[in-house]
Amino acid sequence: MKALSTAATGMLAQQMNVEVISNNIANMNTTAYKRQRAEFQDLLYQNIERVGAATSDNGTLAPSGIQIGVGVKAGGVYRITGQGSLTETGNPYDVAISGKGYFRVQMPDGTNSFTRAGSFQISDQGQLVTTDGFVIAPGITIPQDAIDVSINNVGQVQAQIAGQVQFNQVGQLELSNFPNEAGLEGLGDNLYRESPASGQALTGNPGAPGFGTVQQGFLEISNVNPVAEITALISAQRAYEMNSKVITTADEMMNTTSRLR
Amino acid sequence: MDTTLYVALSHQAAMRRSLDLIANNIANMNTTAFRREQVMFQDYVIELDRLDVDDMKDVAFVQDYGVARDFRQGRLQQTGNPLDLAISGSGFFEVQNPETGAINYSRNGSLKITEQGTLATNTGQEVLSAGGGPIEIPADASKIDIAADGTVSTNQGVAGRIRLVTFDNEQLLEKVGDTLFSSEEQPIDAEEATLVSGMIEGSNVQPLVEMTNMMKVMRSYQSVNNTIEKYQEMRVSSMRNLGRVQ
Repeated sequence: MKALSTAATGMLAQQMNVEVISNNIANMNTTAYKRQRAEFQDLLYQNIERVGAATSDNGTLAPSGIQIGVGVKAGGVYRITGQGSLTETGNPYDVAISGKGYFRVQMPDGTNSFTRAGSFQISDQGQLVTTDGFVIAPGITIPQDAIDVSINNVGQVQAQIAGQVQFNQVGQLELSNFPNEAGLEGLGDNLYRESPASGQALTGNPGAPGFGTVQQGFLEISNVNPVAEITALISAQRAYEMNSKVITTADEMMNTTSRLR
Repeated sequence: MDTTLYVALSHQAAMRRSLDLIANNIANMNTTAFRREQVMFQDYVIELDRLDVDDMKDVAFVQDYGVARDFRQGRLQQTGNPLDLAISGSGFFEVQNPETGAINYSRNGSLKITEQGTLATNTGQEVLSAGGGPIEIPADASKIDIAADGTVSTNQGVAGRIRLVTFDNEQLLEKVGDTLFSSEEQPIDAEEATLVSGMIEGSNVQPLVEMTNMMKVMRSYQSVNNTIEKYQEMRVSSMRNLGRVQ
């Protein structure tokens, strides 16, 4: 009886669906987290009677055949890169991106990774770094005697030095963009890496055509919509139950047969 | 003589197959652009004239002769991803396996960009343009827009137009898994279908319908079982009673 194994694949798929949803809910408050979605595909089909098989010598064809599928599999889990809302923190080194783009982060091994989580800090060398201490490219150094730092919409970083009235420009934040953001490879720690699916990074200043602007004193929160996740969770759980019901039904049918003597 | 048993058996075999299909429908409840299926039955009649019994009715066996596919639109879900496409109306993407060159059809519009920079489905099947070739996205393109008529444009200009096709008889399509269909028919351009970017089409399985169908299948299976049991009892008792020596 195929129904048993078919329903088992359905249960496995729903289990994965629940795992993806629970990861979304767990990251509801993660800065700039992008929610993920599981995508499913049907498995192979067994041809019991082929479509278009000859039904007589006179060339008549079967208008429909019998094809029975054997279940479902996970096709992929991808990220939905919609904008999360911005929340005010008042911290001068918190920078949110409004619109498209990623900050480029120099990893300790020299490679680049990308992030939208703009909760920056200052390192002991005065450089703008992520909370893990990785340098934001291109390196921006805040003078030690700066008393105030201002970052405007187009990413110009200006510092006011003690005793001076004028702000000095100390750097320019850059954003990177991708043809297919959903194809970025997640590394954890809010970091992403360029992948063949994402396409090559294109770098530009905030506010340039195709790039978003930056907001000082704000952070982007996750784009997880709790209501949508909970309803998805409910429907995944019910789908899991229905698949288990198929197993019970198949079992009961086999049981009725075995009771025959 | 044992016609009762064989008629019952034909029914049970059909019910089992029906359950296999329902199981597949339920398992694919969340599969992108999945199309539900249903078994079609017909009766296979044998006349009993030759038995020369006047009030005897014809015997009808059950035969499942085909699977009907329900091509109704699945519900659309918003994802916000510009490379997620839902087809509104009757139509399919024409996709090609880059290695074997085999052409298949799909309604699954969860697309990605391959290493070669072409537009492809999640399983790597390249989406074909109206001109017949794959659609190449320039490596330095930063923004992709896909219009309702399938025109793919980036900030570098138009990259191509996705071809949507349809068939004279969609029931002749064969499912090959991975939400792909194959067809020996020649596809024709789908005039009425439009693309919706940022949405994805869900499966058109209605859980409630499948669950009630499943209950129906089980009950009907069990009731035939009862018939078989009753028939057995009848036979046993007839052997006992008729064989009794006075």
